[in-house]
Order: sequence, then structure tokens, then C-alpha cells
Amino acid sequence: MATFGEFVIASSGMMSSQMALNITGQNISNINTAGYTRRSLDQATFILNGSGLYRSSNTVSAGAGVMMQGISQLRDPYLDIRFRNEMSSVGSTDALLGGMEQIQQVINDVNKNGITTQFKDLLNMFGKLDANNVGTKEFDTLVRNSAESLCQLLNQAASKLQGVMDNYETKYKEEVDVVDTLIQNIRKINEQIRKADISGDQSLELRDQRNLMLDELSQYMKVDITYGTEKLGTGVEIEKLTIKMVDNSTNKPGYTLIDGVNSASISIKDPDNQDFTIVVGELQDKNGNTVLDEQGQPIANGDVVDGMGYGSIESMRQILTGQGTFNPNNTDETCGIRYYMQSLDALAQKFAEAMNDLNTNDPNGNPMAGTIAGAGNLFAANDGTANITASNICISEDWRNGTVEIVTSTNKNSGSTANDNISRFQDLFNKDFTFEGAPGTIIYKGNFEGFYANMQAVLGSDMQAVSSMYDTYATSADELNNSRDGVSGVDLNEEGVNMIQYQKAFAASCRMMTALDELMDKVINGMGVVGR
Amino acid sequence: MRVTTNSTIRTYRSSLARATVSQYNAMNLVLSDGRLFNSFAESPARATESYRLHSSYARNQTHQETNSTMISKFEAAHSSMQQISDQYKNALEQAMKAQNTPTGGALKELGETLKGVAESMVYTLNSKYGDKYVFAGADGDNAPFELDANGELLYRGFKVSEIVKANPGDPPPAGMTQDEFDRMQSMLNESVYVDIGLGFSLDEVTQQVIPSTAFDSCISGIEIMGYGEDADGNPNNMISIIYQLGEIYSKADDSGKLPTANDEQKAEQLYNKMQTTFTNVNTQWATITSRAQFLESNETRLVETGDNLTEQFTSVDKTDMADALTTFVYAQYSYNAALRVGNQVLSQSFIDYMN
Repeated sequence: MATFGEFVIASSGMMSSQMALNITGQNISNINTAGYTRRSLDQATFILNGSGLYRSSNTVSAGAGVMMQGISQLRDPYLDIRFRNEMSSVGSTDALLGGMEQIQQVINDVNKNGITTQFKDLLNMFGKLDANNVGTKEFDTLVRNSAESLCQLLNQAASKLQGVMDNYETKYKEEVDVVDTLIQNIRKINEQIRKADISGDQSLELRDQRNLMLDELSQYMKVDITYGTEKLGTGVEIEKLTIKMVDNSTNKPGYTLIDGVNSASISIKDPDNQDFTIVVGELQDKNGNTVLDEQGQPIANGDVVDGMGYGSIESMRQILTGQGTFNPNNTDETCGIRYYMQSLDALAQKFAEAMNDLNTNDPNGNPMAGTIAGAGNLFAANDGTANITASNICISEDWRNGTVEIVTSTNKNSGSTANDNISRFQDLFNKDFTFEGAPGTIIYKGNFEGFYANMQAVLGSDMQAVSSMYDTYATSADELNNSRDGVSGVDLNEEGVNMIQYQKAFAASCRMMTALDELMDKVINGMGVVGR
Repeated sequence: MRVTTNSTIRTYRSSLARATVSQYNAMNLVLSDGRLFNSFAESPARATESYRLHSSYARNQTHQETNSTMISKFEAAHSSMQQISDQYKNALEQAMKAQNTPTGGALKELGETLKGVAESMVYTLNSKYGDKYVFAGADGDNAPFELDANGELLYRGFKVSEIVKANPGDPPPAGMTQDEFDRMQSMLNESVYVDIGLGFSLDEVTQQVIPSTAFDSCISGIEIMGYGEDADGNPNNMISIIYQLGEIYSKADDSGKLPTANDEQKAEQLYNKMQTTFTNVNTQWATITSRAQFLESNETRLVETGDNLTEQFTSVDKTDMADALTTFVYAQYSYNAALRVGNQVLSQSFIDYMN
């Protein structure tokens, strides 16, 4: 080493310590920056001389100082994968729970007056009518008013469920747009990282930003993320990120969402016709041109069919479309908004049919109109259609204007207060009906009140199960996030210690410089002056 | 494991949030009088059980209301029967006097009195509970008994003396249309079943109430007072007997003699029949009394069932207030502990001690 080489050693020590202090400062200042990955300085010993044919075997080298090789981000890819997988489960259960909570705001009679209490009230009114008031107009009116309130409650519930459906549909469309935008943004950031890679820039901030986006994407759908390489020619390779949607039915990577600087767009198939299937489009470059594979074919993407998706988007779709046992294909197990709408319709229809039957036909099934006064339909559809649903059920115009009344007896020879038909009405509230879903499936067997309670129980049980799963996934995700933070997060104690460590190293290098200065002073000013 | 500043803060934050939620829930538990759930999702099993208990309770309340109405109706019937009994005693007294061959116009007067008693009995049996006639069977909207201008007693439009219970398939008697005959038979076989919590159910085929599962609230005036005629052509109905007896005595002359020997014989028969028929009336009265007693004991049972159900759903819906308060105090303790720990742990780091 040359005479002044030692200054370079001290100088490199000072520079690297200062850089390390800078990084410590950067770490501390970004401790609360979302997605920030802590950094560390990569240092290596700097050696100038190497071995050679004419190298003296007696030459000893202390080294030429410290070299700054680069700045590393401390991340564990495996923890990233585990965290993102867990987040897709968190997103999935969270979305299911969110949807069910909205349904519960409509279908919940616990500790409040609603459809259940109105059924009880109607039965009670029949009881009052039966108890020494048969044929009394006021009590017939009481029954009618109670029945009308029940119709209104069913109308309200149906209308509120439709409201939930409409809101959820809007939210679903917005979320799909968000995911599509997110995918396009990841593609754009890939492009920037690619340019930085080519020019040799580490682009740490962009990677942090991308990691944040990948974390966000993983909540919406289960994704498989791989970091491959792209050959640029002349032996140069740069990183290439590929994101595929995981096919939940096989648990293997399926449709390609992003491949380096190319991406697919996602959309809803036909929302106007209530087809909410997610469609993953062809892989395209930034100009919208279809990307072809090695065989010259477009990358095969398509519809996310039942069972394929997983994550919050899929859960939202299930809440929107889930018919449970009403699904004719019997493939859809989730009880979404449609299940409850159809259940409510089935309840209204069964109730109206049974009540109308008792007021129009005698026990032998013979029509009573013409022989029994007041016989006729009690309930009708307010939109004039023949099909009574929860949204259109109302008391019939004839009952309202008094042409039709509650038929108290089916026997034309009976007295004015005979009540055999009232007994049939009362029995109706205890009678077991079979409520069918899709052809060949039975949803429930029991009375009207019981069916409505069953609807609430189905929702409650689903919510409890999903809620437990959510807690498990969220706890697990929290733990994984902490583990991930254990690798990538900034710790003030550690940075404080680093601060002292690098500060002392800097001071030591400075002291080294002073020692060298004194040494050189001796050499320059003190040598060869003996005897002067 | 490397624990970072932010993971400590995050873990603390979520723990503090949990402690806050626990305290909030415990507070609500106390404020809602110990109510354990407000939706099926919070506790599906409890909510389902609660629904069944509340449903049974609602029915129990309806049964209690119906039972109570029936008790009142039967009390009204009992009271009327008491009156009928008094009226009978009065009639019997008058008839006994008539039997003792009164002189002058006394017999004629006694006859008029008896007719008056019979008319009073009609009024008594046309009594109402609420706005329904008590003794009208299943025709509570119309006064059941009527004495027409000829002194003929009618029940729901039929001459009581002509009412006859027929076997299925029997033809109508002469002078009666099939429709009238059908209506009469329907009247004689009618029931008005009410649900008072005896397991009310209908026969699946006929859709008629199974008698053992309900209470028959029908009170038929002619079942109590009798209908039809005996072999001698005398009415079986108490009112008719008294009225006819009154009519015969009314025909007496001023010396107390009846126009014919046949009248005397008829009077004798009717007097005797009046006494034997009252035995039947008494039996029917006893039946009404025992039915009323059944309703009263049923009321006790229903009230006990209702209390029992209230107790059951209260224990399902709510927790004991002592438990709720203990839960709250514990949640508060955990919350305070979380606050204290947070304040001490989060503020310190190595940097705080650097020179």
C-alpha cells in the first residue's frame, strides 16, 4: 500500500459509517410509513492487491478499507406468501360477514317486534275472534288489521332486502373496478421497476409500494406471486413478476393477471342481467394489444366459474347470487341475499295460499263461494299478478271492502257463531308445512313462524361459523404480520443501538485519520532532521 | 423472534381494542338487564330455544285469554241457571198451590202466574254474555228462545216440541223440508270448540277438531231444558211444561174447576213431569258447573305453564344480574390493566436513555 493509502482506509470507514447512519436515519424516519421495509448497508472488505506470478511472498496486505456494496431490504418472501394467503381468507370471511350483517339487519326479530311477533298477533286475533266473538264485525276487522300489518312487514322486509341487494351490487361493481385498477397499477409499477432494473437502480421505494399493492390484492383474491427473470439479451437478466389467480377448486395457479409489464383486466360478465361472474380478460400490453404465448396464442383466461374464486370479491359475488338450497343446479351452498329473498317469498306465498284455501274451499275441497257468505280470497298480489310474493302480498280488495270475510263455518246449516273454520285457521299456525327449495329439496318442515325462525337460524349459524373463521384467519394474519414485521419492520431500540454503533465507528475512523495525520507529520516533518 | 416497535404497538392496540370491546359488551350486558343476545348470530342455539319458548308463551297467553273468556261465559250461564232454578221453585210453588184445588178465581190466577214464570224463563235463557246469547248453542247472534203468539216455544225458529234427533239417513218428518231437517240435525249435533291449550289439533281427513284436544264452549238451551214430546204428547221442555200447565189452569172457571176431565188429567201429568224434568235440568246445570270448574283448574294450569315458560325464557335470554356485574367488573379490571401496561411499555425505548 502506498504511503497515503491508510487515509483511504480511514476515509472509507468514515463514509460507510456515515452511510449506515443515514440508513438508520431513513429507517427511523420511515418507521410509520406503510409498507416500508427496513434497510441495511451491505459492506465488504476492500482489497486492492491480489495474487500474481511476480507477487512477493513477503508482501502483507491489511486491506484497503471498507466497500459499500449496496443497500438491502430485509424481507422474507415465504412470510409474504403465507401472509397473503391468510389475507385472502380474511378478505373472504370479512366480505361474507359484511354481507350477512346487512341481511341480518332485515331478517332479525330477536328482542324486537317483527314478522315473528306479527304471526303471533294474528293467531292471537283469531283466538279473540274464536272466544265468544265469532261473527262480530269488530273482531273480523281486528284479524284483518293484523293480517294487513303482517303483509306490510313482509313487504318491508322484501323491499329492504332488495335495497341490500342494490347497494351490494353497486359495492360489488366498485370493488371489481378497484381490483382492476389495482392490477393495472401493479403492471405500471412493474414497468417502472423494470426500467430501474435496466439502469441498475435498486428502486427500493417502488418495491415497497408494489408489496403494499400485492398485500391489498391478496385480500380481494387468492393470488400466486412468482418472481422470475426476463432475459434482455447479451446475458443481462432482470426480475419479472408474475401474478396468477389461484383456482380454489384445484388450489393451483390459474388465470394470469399480470406477467411482467403485461396485465389482464377483470370485469363483471353481465351485471344488467344479474350475471355477476368475474371475467378475467386476455393478457394485454400497456397499449392494449393482446399478448401471445410462444405458440402465438392469447394467454388463456376466462370466466371465474363457481368454486374457482376465493377472496373478498368471490365472497361478495356469493352474497349477491347465493341461492343456497334454491339453486336448481344444487351447486351453490352459500345462502346469500337471493336465498333470503326467495325464502321470504316462499313464506308469503305458502301463507297466502293456505289462508286463501281455508276461506274458499271447505274441508272436502269444494268451493264455498255461492253457498257460504263471505267466502273468497283473503290475500292477493298488489301488482295484479297471480304469483304472490313477499314484496306484493296484500289483503285482497274484497276482504278490504267487506265482500269477503273470514268464513267462520263451512257448514251452511250451522248457526251464526259456529266456528269450525276458525279452528282450521287456528290450526294453520301450528300445522307443519313443507317448504321446498330447488325441485327435490326441502328447506324446512314446520309452521310459518318456525320457517321464519329457521331463516334467522340459518343466517345466525352461518354468521357464527364465518365469524369464528374470520377471527381465526385474522389472528393468524396478525401473527404472520408480526412475524413479517420481525424481519422487515423498524425497531427503535435496534436503530438506537445502530446509531451509537455507527457513530462510534465514524468517530473511530476520524480518530484513525488523526493518528495517520500524526504519523505523516512525523514522516514529513520529523524524519531526516537529526543533528540540525 | 425479533419484536419490533410497531409490532408491539400493533399488538397492544389490538389487545386494547379487545379489552375495550369486552368492557363495552359487559356494560351493555348490565344495561340491557343481563340480556345475552340480540340476534341469532350471537347465539344460534339460545336464540332458537328462546324462539320456541316465546312462541309457546304467546300461545299460552292466547289460551289464558280464551280460557278467561270461557270462564266468564260459563259464570254467566251458571248465574242464569241459578235464576232458572229460582224460577222453577216459584213455578213449583204455584203449581202445588194449584194442585190443592184453590177456590174462586185463584186457579186461573195461578195459571197466569205460571205462564208468566215460563215467559221469565225464556228471558233468562235469552241472556247474553258480551253480545252473544249464552244458551244459543252455535247461533250466538240470535235470541234462541221465543214464545210465539200461540204459546208455542220456539228454539232457533223450530218448535221445541217438534225437535227430534234422527238417525243418519232418516227422512224429514211430515211438514218439514229437507233443508230445515238438516239444519235441525246440525243444530242438535253442534259443538263450538275453542283452543284453551289442550293440544288443539284437527283430524287430518275431516279437518274437524279432535274433541279431546279442545274445549266445547257450546251451551245449548234445549239440551238443558229438554225438547220433543213424550209418548203422552206432553212436552219434554221445562218451559213448555210450565207454560202449558199455566194455560190449562188459566182455563179454570171462577169456582176453580177445569173445563174437562182431560184437562185435569193433563194438568196432573204436566205437574208430575215438571218435577221429573227439573232433575234433568239440574243435571245439565251440574254439567255446566263442572265445565266451569274444569275451566278454572285449566286456568291455574295455564298460569303455571305461563310462569314456567317465563322462567325458562328468562334464563335462556338473560344472565343473572350478579353474573353480569361480575363480568363487567372483570372487564373493567382488564381494561384498566391494559391501559396501565400500555402507558409504561410504549413510552420507553433505548433512544430515551441515549446521551
